[in-house]
Formats: sequence, structure tokens, C-alpha cells
Amino acid sequence: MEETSSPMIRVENLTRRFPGVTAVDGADFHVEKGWILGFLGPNGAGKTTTLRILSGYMPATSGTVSVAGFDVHRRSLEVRRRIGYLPENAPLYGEMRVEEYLRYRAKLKGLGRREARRNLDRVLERVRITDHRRRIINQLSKGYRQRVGLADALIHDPPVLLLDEPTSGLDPNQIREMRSALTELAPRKTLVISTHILPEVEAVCDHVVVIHQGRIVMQGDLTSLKTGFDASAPVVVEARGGAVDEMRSALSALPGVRAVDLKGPPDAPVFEFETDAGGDIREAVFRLFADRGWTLVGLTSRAPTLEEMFWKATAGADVEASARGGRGN
Amino acid sequence: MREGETSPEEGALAPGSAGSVAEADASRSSPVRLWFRATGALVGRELAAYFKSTMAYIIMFFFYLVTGLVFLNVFEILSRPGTPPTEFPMLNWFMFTLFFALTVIVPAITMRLFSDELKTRTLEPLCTAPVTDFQIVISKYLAALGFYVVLLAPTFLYAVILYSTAKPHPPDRGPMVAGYLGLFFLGSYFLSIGIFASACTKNQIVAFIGTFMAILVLQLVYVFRRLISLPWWKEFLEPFDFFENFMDFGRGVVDTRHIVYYLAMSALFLFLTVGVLGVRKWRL
Repeated sequence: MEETSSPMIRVENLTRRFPGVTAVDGADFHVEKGWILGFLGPNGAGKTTTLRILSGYMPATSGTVSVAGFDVHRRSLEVRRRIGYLPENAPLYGEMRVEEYLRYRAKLKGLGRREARRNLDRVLERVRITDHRRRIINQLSKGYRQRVGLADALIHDPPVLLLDEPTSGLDPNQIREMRSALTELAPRKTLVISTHILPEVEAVCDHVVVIHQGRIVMQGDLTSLKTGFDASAPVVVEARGGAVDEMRSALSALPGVRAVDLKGPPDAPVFEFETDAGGDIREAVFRLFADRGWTLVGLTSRAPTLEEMFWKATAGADVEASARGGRGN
Repeated sequence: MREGETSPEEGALAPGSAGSVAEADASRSSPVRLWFRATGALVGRELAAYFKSTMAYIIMFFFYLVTGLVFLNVFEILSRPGTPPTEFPMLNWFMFTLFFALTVIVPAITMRLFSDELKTRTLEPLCTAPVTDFQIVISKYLAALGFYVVLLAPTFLYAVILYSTAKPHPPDRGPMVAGYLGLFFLGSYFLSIGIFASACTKNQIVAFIGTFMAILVLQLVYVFRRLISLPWWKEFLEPFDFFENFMDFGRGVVDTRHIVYYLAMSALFLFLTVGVLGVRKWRL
């Protein structure tokens, strides 16, 4: 058996070319079990293409992809049994009723009648459309159709979910409901959510992979990005009650402090500086202010927001891509 | 939390289970059973979709209208005093009509099969379900064939009436049954062409026209054969001369060569359809 214990999804040097454009170019990333991965990128970056390759809908031009231990190219059917895929805009058969559609999908995925009925009830509860189970899909609003799509992805209880822009076209209430439904699913399931909406990644995901023009430009663990004091990030000191120049030179004199930037008006100065690797400078700053009788109004580390990192990563990639411009496809 | 505990009853969505459906199910149902369950679901869904569509009823309306009129005509001609009681030309006339009715009916039946899925992008969830391309194609084919049979079945009544009211004695039943058998296999062939055409385009109208043209050309081969007097032309086109083949059925001759031919051509176009699906995924 080809089953391995981790990672759940492994993508190695994935490339997908179309006539005239390289949609995915040497992508490398992996997803461990239980992660909620935000697959982030501007429109046209290659997110949908990558998801289609992961789900076995489209073959790659080169590279290897394995999901739940099975190679997507060689054991496509096994992969498809273990994933729930929700394509963008949740395409459904409009003429069927909700439960009719879900029962049909359950049969396609190999569920027996008893199991299908049981799963159907649970899945309808989970996405909260039990009251609409007899409705014809054409008559549902976009939000409900999206939920039916999610129900379809969940019906066979797969370990991996691939969701392409699951909140696109939904109103704020529906977005909130969809997001909470998704967060409830982890850590039992591994989720990959593709989106171009930064706040969505911040709200729902614990890991992120950023793709831009077909290349992975950033991957990381969001928990470290978002919370707490990051010792490697710039330190921000808000001060009062002292001469700005004095404060500045005193701060510069602290061991490990590099160039000190001054922002803000003279009576409410904000100093920003980077420190050498390691070490928490906060105590030293506090003591300094205490000794000199200055008022320390704020002391934080300016950990970069996801947005800043995103712009940095994609801007850098833009530059890189244009430099390599003439290489052809 | 019941980590890892998955009894066959509770397994599916119980807390703590990380998704054991694939494994649990594989141990309970054989692959053959699963294959039929999935394919059966596909065919069932496709058939239901036919009868929920307006197109089906439009097809049925016009088809029954035309065949009804033809039947009336034939019946009236045969009822005139002095008409020689020959069953062959009578049934031939009926079959002739049905033969050409296929040109319009088959494209109408098959036009939506793949084109609609391509247009509304429902092919994506279909192809990412654990079913093979072959299952998808064969199920659409079976559904189309099923609808075709349901469509044709009531006209059998006309044939029965013609036969049972013939005087002074009812003629041989052979040609009647053979005729419909011929229609069935010929239908299978043309339907498979239609399915192929449908898979080639997102646009149902284009699929219709393509299928219509293809069937028309095939049917008119016998005309071409007779109009053009180049010697090799006649020989060359002989295997494509449907009318003769089909009229064998009309005469009551069930020639298994013809059946094999029709089935083989159906298989060919179904195979080509699977191929087109594959090409789409590569190019998309």
C-alpha cells in the first residue's frame, strides 16, 4: 500500500502549462493532517488550477502530487474517494431536489443506502439546510446552493476537503456562517481553502500558502504571524514626557538596538527600531524609561500583518517575473 | 472523545472519526457492486433529468404527431377497396418514415447530454467523484437509449393495429418485430454519434446540428451511391449504405452482421467520446 502517515497533501515541483500560459510553475508545498490551509493569491494566480489538479480533475504537465498517500495521477480514483471538492460557484444540477441530489452523490461515492441516509441527515444538520431538503435546487439562493455544495463535499465524510472560494458571492451573514461551519470541521479533517480575500485567511486558517503568477511566494504558519511578541520583528516604543533627541540616543545606546526611526509629533513620539537576533529588549526599554523618568505609553512589536507580508511577497514576485520575462512558456 | 473507535454502525460522521468511509465501505461492498451502484445512480439521474426537461415533451409531441399522421395515411391507403394486400410495402413505408425521423429525433435526444454539463460546469463535480470516464459515458448512453426506447414503444401499437386489421388473413409478424429491432440497433449507433458530438461542444445547438448533419449524410449514402456512376464509388460506399441494411430488418431478416456492425460503430463512438473527455482535461 502506498499509504504514508504524513503529510496529508504533498505537492512537488508541480507545473501546469496551457497553450500560451503557464498557470502553475514549479509549486512546492505540503499540508499536514488537521491543518486549515489558506491558499491565497490574486485572481488568476493559479489557485483553481492547483485545486483541480489536487482533486484529479486535471492532470499536471509535470511534478508529483499525492493526497492522503495516493498519487493523484496514478491512483486518481483512490484520491477522489478521500476528498470532498467544492468548485467555485458550487455547480449543481438545478432540476433536482436537495436531498435527491445529495443521495445521488452519495451513491456515486460508494455509500450504501443505510449509510447514505444516515450521512444525509447529519450533513444536512451540519450545513443547516435540513428545512430545505425537499426544495428544488434551482429555487435556492446562492448562499444555500453553496451549502448544498459543501454538503455534497462532506457527504462521504472524506478526510480532505478542497474548497474553491467557498464564500464567493455570499452576503456577510452567510459568509460568517460558512466560515464557522468550516472552522468546526478541523482538526478532524484537513482543509484547503482557496481565496483571494486576506481577512478570510486570517479569520479561518492556521496556515497559508501564497501563490502569485503560478509560483508559491510564501508559506507559513499563521499562528506565529498573528499572535504575541515576535522578537525578530521591529519594536515600537510610544513615549511621552521627555526630549525626543535624548530618548532617541538613549534607545540607540541600548545593546542590540539598530537604527532608531522617529515617527509622530515631538510631544508624542513613536520610536521604531530593529534589534539583533534573539533577546527580548522590552525589559531594558522599561528600565531605561523608569530611570530617566520618561513615560512609556506603548511598547509592542510590530509583527507584520498578513497583508504586509502578502504585498511584499507578491511585489517581489512581480519584479522577479518581469526580469525573467523573455523565457517563454 | 472516542478517538479512533469506529464501529460499522457509528463510523461515518461521529466525533473523533477522521473519515473512515472509504475503508469501511471497501470492506463491505465488492468493487463490482460499487461500480453498478455508481453507474446505476448515473443512469437513473440522467433518465430523470430527461423527463424533467421540456425538450423531452417537445420531442414526444412532434414525434407522435408525425408518426400518427403517417399511420393514418398508411391505414387510409390500405383501406381503399382494391388495394392489393401486401404487407411488405406497407411496413416499408412506415419504417421509412421512422428511419428518417431518426435524423431529427436523435440529435434532439443527445444534444444536452454533455453540452449542458460543459456549459454549467457540472462536469467538474462529476469528474471529481470516484467514477471513471467510461462510467460517465456509458451511463449517458444507456439513458439516451432508454429514452429512445420509451419514445418508440407506443408506435409499436400502430404496427400491431396495421397487422391485426389486415384482411383476409394477418400477415407474417416477422417484419414487424425485426423492423423494430433494426430501429433499436440503428438508434444505438446514431445516439452514440450524438453523444460524441455533444461532448465536443458546449453549445447544444452546435451539437444538434453536427449530429443532424452526420446522420443525414449517412442516411443519404444510398442516394449518392445511385446517383454517381463511378464504379469504385459504389463498392466503396457499400458498407455505409444504411438503407439496404436497414431494409433487411424491414423485410424480416435479422442479419447478425448488421447488428454487429451497428454495435461496433456504437462502441467506436462511445470510445471516441471517452477520448474527447480526456482531451478536454488536458487542454481545458
